[in-house]
Amino acid sequence: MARDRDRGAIVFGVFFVVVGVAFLLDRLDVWTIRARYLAPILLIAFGMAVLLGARRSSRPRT
Amino acid sequence: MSLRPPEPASSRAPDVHAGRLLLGLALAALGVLWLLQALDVATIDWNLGLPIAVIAIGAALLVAGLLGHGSGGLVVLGIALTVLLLASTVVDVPLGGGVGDRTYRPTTVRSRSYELAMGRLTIDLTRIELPESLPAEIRASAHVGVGQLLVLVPQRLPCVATHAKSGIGGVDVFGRSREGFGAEYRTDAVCSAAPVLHLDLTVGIGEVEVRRG
Repeated sequence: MARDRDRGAIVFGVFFVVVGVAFLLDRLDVWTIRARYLAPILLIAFGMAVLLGARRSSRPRT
Repeated sequence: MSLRPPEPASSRAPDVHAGRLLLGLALAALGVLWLLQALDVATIDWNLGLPIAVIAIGAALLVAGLLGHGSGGLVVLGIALTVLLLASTVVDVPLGGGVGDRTYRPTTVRSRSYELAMGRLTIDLTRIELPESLPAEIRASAHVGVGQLLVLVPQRLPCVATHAKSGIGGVDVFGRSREGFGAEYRTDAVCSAAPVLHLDLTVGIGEVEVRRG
């Protein structure tokens, strides 16, 4: 029997991949991350990740 | 004597601990990169290591999540590395340049670069002697990790283009100031008469000040 997917891990995984790619592009000078916008954007993204990760599945529990 | 029926073979896939899997892969990859650099086969930009580590953690979390395995401490590790990444991006501390108070008073027109890890760096440009054949531009860049950076600009150089940035702290360019997180001031030269002085000034934590000397 296949295990249930772990929604929290998936959401945080996507979050870290996006953050890592954004910083990697910054360090490769593909684009520039502006420091003054960085902290609030990360906070919003982290909050969204927490919200999405905490969302319960609609399936009934056994 | 009763015989217990044999337990059914488990159809579950063996548990794979995502954290250990990632740690093993990371150590092996680190070793390979180190070896390649030691053998002069490749030059590794270690500055890219931190964002790549965050991407790897994200990928491991994705796999663990899709397979239904526990994420272990990967979320905590990812958050810690993201904070570190944020701090290292905002506060770029140079390893070179030393510590203490330094004052430079160049006298010739030449593009220069200055660096100080920690302390107060003063660049006094008021003693520069301009040659008869004026150059189109003069460039000066300075980088302080933690501390203060002061640039004194002579009246004889009216055209100044400045990019001043402080990760955490403030910048003050000819009386115009910005403060706070990621304070930055950028201006093009207000006139085009040669020579145009281009200043590129950054401080990780602390103050940048540009004023007439």
